[in-house]
Amino acid sequence: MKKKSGIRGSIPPIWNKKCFRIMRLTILFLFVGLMQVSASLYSQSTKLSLDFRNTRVVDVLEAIESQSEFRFAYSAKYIDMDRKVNVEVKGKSIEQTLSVLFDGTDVKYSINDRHIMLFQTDMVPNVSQQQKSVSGKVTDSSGIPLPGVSVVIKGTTTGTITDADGKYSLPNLPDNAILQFSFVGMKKQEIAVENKTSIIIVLEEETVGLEEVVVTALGIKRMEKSLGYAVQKVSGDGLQTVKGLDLSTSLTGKVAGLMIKNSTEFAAEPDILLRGEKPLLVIDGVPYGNMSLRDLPSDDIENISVLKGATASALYGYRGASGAIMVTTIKGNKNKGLSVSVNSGTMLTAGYLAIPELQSTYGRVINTATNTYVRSGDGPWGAPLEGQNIIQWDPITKTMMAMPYLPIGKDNFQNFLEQGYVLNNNVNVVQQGEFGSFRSSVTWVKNKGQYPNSMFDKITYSIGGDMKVNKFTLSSNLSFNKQTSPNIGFGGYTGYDPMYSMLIWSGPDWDIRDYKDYWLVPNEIQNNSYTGTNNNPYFDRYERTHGLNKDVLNGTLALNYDMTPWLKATFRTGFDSYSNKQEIQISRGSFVSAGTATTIDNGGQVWGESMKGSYNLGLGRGYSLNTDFLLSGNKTIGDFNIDGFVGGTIYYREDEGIDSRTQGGLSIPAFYSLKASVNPAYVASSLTKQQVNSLYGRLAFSWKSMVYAEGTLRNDWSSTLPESTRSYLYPSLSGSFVASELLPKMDWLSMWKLRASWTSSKTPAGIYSINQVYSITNNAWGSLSSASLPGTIYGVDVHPESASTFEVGTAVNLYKNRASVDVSYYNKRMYDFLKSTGISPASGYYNNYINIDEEITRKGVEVSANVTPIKTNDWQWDLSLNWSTYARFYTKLDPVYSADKTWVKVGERADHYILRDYQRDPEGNIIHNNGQPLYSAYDTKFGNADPNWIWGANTTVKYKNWSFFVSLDGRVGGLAQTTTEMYMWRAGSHPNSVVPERYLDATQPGTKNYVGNGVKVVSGSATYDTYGNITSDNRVYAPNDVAVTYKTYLENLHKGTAWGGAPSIVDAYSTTYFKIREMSLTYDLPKNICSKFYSKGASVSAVGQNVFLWAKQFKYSDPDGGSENFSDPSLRYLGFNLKLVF
Amino acid sequence: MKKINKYISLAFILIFSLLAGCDKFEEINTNPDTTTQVSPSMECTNIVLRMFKYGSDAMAYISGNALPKYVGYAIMAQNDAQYNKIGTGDFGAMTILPNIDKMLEYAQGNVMEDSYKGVASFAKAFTFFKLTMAMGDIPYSQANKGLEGLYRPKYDTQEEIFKDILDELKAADQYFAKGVTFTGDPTPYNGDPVKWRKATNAFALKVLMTLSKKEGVASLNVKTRFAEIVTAGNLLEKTTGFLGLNYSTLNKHPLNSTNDMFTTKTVISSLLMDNLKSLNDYRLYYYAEPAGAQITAGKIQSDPEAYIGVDVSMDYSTMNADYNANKYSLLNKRYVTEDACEPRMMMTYGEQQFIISEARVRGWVTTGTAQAYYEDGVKAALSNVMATKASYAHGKAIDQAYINGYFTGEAAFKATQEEQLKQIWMQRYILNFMQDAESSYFEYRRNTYPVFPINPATSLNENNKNSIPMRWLYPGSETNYNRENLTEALDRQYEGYDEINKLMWLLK
Repeated sequence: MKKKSGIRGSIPPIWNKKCFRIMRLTILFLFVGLMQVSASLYSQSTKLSLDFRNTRVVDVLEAIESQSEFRFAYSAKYIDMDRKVNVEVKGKSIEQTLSVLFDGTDVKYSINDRHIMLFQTDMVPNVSQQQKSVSGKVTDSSGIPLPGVSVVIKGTTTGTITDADGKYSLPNLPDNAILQFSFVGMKKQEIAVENKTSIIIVLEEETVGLEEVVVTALGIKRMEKSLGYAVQKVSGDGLQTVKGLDLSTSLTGKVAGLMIKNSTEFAAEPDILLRGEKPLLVIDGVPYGNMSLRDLPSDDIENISVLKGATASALYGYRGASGAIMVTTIKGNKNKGLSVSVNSGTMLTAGYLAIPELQSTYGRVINTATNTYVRSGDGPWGAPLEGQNIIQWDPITKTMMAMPYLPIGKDNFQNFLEQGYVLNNNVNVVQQGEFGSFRSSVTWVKNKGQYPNSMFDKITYSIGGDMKVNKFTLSSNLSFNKQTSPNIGFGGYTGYDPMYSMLIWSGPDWDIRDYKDYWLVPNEIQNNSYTGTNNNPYFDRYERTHGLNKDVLNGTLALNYDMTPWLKATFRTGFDSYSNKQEIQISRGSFVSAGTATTIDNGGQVWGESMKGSYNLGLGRGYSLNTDFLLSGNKTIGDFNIDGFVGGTIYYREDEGIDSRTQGGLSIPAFYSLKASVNPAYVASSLTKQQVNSLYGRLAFSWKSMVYAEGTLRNDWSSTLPESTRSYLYPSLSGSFVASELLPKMDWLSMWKLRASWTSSKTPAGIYSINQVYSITNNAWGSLSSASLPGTIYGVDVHPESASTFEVGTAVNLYKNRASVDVSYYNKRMYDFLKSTGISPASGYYNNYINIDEEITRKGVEVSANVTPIKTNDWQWDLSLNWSTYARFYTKLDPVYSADKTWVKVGERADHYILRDYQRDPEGNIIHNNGQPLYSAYDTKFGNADPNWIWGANTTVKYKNWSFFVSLDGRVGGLAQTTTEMYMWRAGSHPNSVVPERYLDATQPGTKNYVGNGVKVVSGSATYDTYGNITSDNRVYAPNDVAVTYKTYLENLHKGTAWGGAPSIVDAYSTTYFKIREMSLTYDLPKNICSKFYSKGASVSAVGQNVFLWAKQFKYSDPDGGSENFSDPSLRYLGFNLKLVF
Repeated sequence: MKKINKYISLAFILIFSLLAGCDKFEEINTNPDTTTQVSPSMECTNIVLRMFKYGSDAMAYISGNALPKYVGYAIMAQNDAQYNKIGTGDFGAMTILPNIDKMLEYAQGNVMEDSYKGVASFAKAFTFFKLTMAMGDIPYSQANKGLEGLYRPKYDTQEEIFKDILDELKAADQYFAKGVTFTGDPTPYNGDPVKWRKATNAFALKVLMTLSKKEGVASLNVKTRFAEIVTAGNLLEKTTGFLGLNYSTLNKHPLNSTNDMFTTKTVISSLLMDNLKSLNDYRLYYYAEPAGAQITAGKIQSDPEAYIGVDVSMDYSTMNADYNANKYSLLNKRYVTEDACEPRMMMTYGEQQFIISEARVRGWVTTGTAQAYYEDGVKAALSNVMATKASYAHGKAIDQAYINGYFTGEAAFKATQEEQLKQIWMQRYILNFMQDAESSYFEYRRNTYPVFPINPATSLNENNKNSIPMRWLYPGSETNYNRENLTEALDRQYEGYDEINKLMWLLK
């Protein structure tokens, strides 16, 4: 009771009463949880109860091991383990129990926490004659000292245990002594003493199977077998040989349920989806607001744990509602002392996996009156290129002149592309000392893209380290990242991608190689074959640019303090800030604008200013701050272990930007400044802020090493919600059961675990999304400003949207972890959607921002398997496979707000792919009107947008110093519009559009020669209801016999656009594909060679990325990016990698 | 244990202070770049712009003019509107209604309140007029009730809606009569309530004339209302100027594009061209460019024979082949090169006079002569074109002398009522070129004049190849979110089938 009053007395007077009321229950809960943990060292606090009659010593020790975490080290050669004893203890300490067992024998014991060594007393004099000793220290791979490691002389029971600082010393060693170091969860190590007097050992974590230690939410390390949810770990080593521009590309296919969409656009960041949703990125325990995997060099990665699903990341609140990617960076080194590593990767582009082609039979349309080709930029729907004399633009003399009309530009696109490369170099220096470490790392990535003037540079400088002083452990990291590009380019049809003017709206009748001199009048008029729409591609790359200059700075500080042996306090704060300057410069004389490109998030776009020139400057900056405070405790009572913590977090983020651009053109050519604006320059600013305060706690129980249960509870207060719903609770429960513990010991079954978990996650409204505010337009007309209400009704009483996730899984390890399989099934029921739901605009609004009653459930299965079929001294073959699937289904509809469509029904998939089919007769033939295909006036469901399943496979074969690695991945199913091919068809550029009918159309202008395959209506008509069902139909059909031009036919057959809406059925492609993502062949140089150049280790690799593609329907572009809108050619990268350690 | 207590207390102090930030949440969640309070004047600007400002791109602008057969469109792809295919309508315009409510709310007690009420009534009438003209029955009495929780409004009949539109316009007339000069008006009227009143009445006449087939419907009382407005006399005068928007270097004409993608591919229809020629109408030279092939053949640009229109119902590929032989006249270059080639005129004195002239022919009004109204209208329309840059007139600039001498030959007011009506309609058609093209389509539905070229072999109107479609389909938002009421309206009007050839009440 004293405690409680003490706490009350310490409530600060500034405390707001209303807030307090909301939180009181939460705190009470957390407080009770905390009180369950009390003080004790393991060996002192653990009480044993045994009752054995006439039982062998070995069995008694086993019984102790099974009901506690004590582990015995001894040699049966010297200690009589078969001696029968009677033991009857109740609630006794280990010391008392051991004295019952061994008092009166020659066995001595030494207890260090959970580790107990048994000696034979008379052995000591035997070895003491040798007069030789050794001392040293044992640490883990991050340099943290390991106490309690048993150090035994091989073949004896002699040994010791490391002290609290990880130190040990062993006197009186025999000649040729070999020391064995062992510790729970770590790989056993042996080392010959030889003439050494000091041996420092780094024990590596056991990386196979369920003994694996993984990083879970809030940076807490736990044994995988104790987890009730799916976590998959990728070690940093595997990401450091094939180094592309982005780390995430190398992660593709390596984790079941993690879908990474790698766009082929220059410098485009891959999209990361975990179970179909965007996961949270956590770096060294800090969920930064502005960091992405792009900002992390692969050489700084220790490992990555992927926490799948909302339960795993429940402690991150709404930000973790879609799982989390937990990155641990390298802070120290295995070995004490100074170490310098260099890792240099070079990859050059080597051919294409997919590249669009252009037909080379037809040129542009000829103006028959003037015998001149049309220069306004239409597709090559003109005359065949047969060498006839046509007046054309001569780029050399820069005049119009009659020249033979020939396919001189059939390879224009490939001729335009340049050799690309990725250079990825890292140098890092580590000083590992006794009480800490310091690491400094510099990474420089340089990517030259395939288009001229495309360069992207990324420089990362990071310093970090940790230290231990008495009861404090401090670790800190600071990293600076700079990304620059003179021109990241403009992608997609609506951005006037270079393909737009080279492959679509352009014929093969001009030769790009003659157009490198792209000025007719410098800074004003292009030297161009076209006078409209199509820029000279060189002009386009150099005079219509989108420059980027972005800095990201992030830092973290984590402080641990062991208050008492059982209670630990952690304070951790992470800060990141970015500044991003982007400029769009469009020269006078450009035929196209910047399209949909913007210079800040949600910034304005430059349209219609292109001929007069334009300058657009965006400055964005922002920061996020995440501060955690945790108190954690741990206690074991008998077979039970309880651990838990309480804590709190403040998360705050702020983003602001200024977007400005010239209006009315540039007053002086090539003067790229706001001061060049002819009309008053446009300037807009934005500022967004958000704060989330949280309190949380976790309580976990385990019984023996068999049953684990855990509960977490988090309460958030989000600034983005109204006061009444601002506070919300986010609980989770999970448990695992190691079933193999119950089964008799079997050689083949190493471990079998079952797990289950549940959580209820919440996501608050977005920033400012509940504010009904006006949008103001300056100078809306003349000098008048206008104010307009939003088209959305903003609900003032919205609450967070919810999801309830249930997950079960099992993991089996076979043949001493040579093979393992992990299977998960999850079911995420999403409800209370906070949605700007469509309503009839006759209500006065387009949308209503509310929680709707629709419910969508995502169901998924993930399987991962690892096998090591071969493992000998020289050979090792590892194989791992990942497979996952999910689909979203409607499980409940909102009677008002769910769209009233036949495919919106309970049980139907929610990722429907909707388009307008052609009208068809009962046999399915396309109905034609005047020779052209007729479209239905109603939407139909054509398929689904999400892939049916995704997979990945990685294999490594090692032979002595050689290792060969391949990773494959792919997606199956899912639909996407092929924007490139759709426009290739429509523009007459598609290689398959060279048909005989086209020749007749082109050579006999005005004739129509193409008869579409299908039927026409002879008589009768049909009527439809509002769903598009036929209500009456008396149509009579005959085969279509009406000829049209091939051009008109294709334009009607391929009707989608890149500006929104669905494509024609013929342009909706399956995204099914597979890729050889990475390959490498590595040779580790033998130590004796390395030592000749003072190296501790060196390796050389031949590497490849994006090596091979097979796609079911996509031929001219790579479906990897998910959506296809003028995807740049997919490049194969081949190169080499060099690693050196000094 | 005492020490532990201390630690725990410390921890809780920290945790509590974390959450002390609750108070600041309102402030954090307020965007300093937005406002929840505005002036009625800024809302007024928004409302007027939503009515008059062209909201889409150049290609859509051309399409809008292709439907009433002013132009054809070559290259790129076959233009649906040119070949008689129209799609779905949009109720989005109704989202102007909450803005009107807000303007009135902020205007309460303001000296300009009556003027804003006038704008409000006009805007409501203008918006619903265009919507019901496009689709037929639409939600009206239950519209704009989203804030009250009514998301699925019932449809009113077109007859009821028209009655209300006319009442709103009458109310607007009364408000403007009481009003004072108001701020926030982007039109050339610059907040003058007298001018707004005149334009409101002119617009009321336009609405009433639209109802000529329903002149006998008692609830609407078309003829009486028309006569009342004319008698009251608060109508546009020669000097009042148009209701609409002036373009400038800041606010450019939608066709003022920086490249020649759209305008060089827009060919003038023979329907427009031939009528201009037969009237010896110099607007020809302001609307079109001479055909390249004719110039090559030696014709001069001021020769009407240098101008060739296209039969816009002609097969698309044939039209393209001809286009590539420079056979046709293209759209006048001023549309692409000038920021402000001509203003956007939604209601002009000229059109008003044509409407009264028609009413006079029909006997709805008895004052004045149909000829005088007709000639006033033509003169005003020619004066408006005369006000644009003469440098684009290919040597045939309009001057006052030309205007005065216009009424000879075909242009002279004819004798029979049937011919007179056709003359009036033709002049309205010519007047609305590149202006209010939608009106010309509505007029065609009413009068079937000028006779649009229709070719069943090229028509994309699959259900009625010999006809121009009669309406837009109801928007997708209705099948998604208001199906029951939509179905009721469809059953009532169109035998349950939402189709473009169905006739709405107005046209029956």
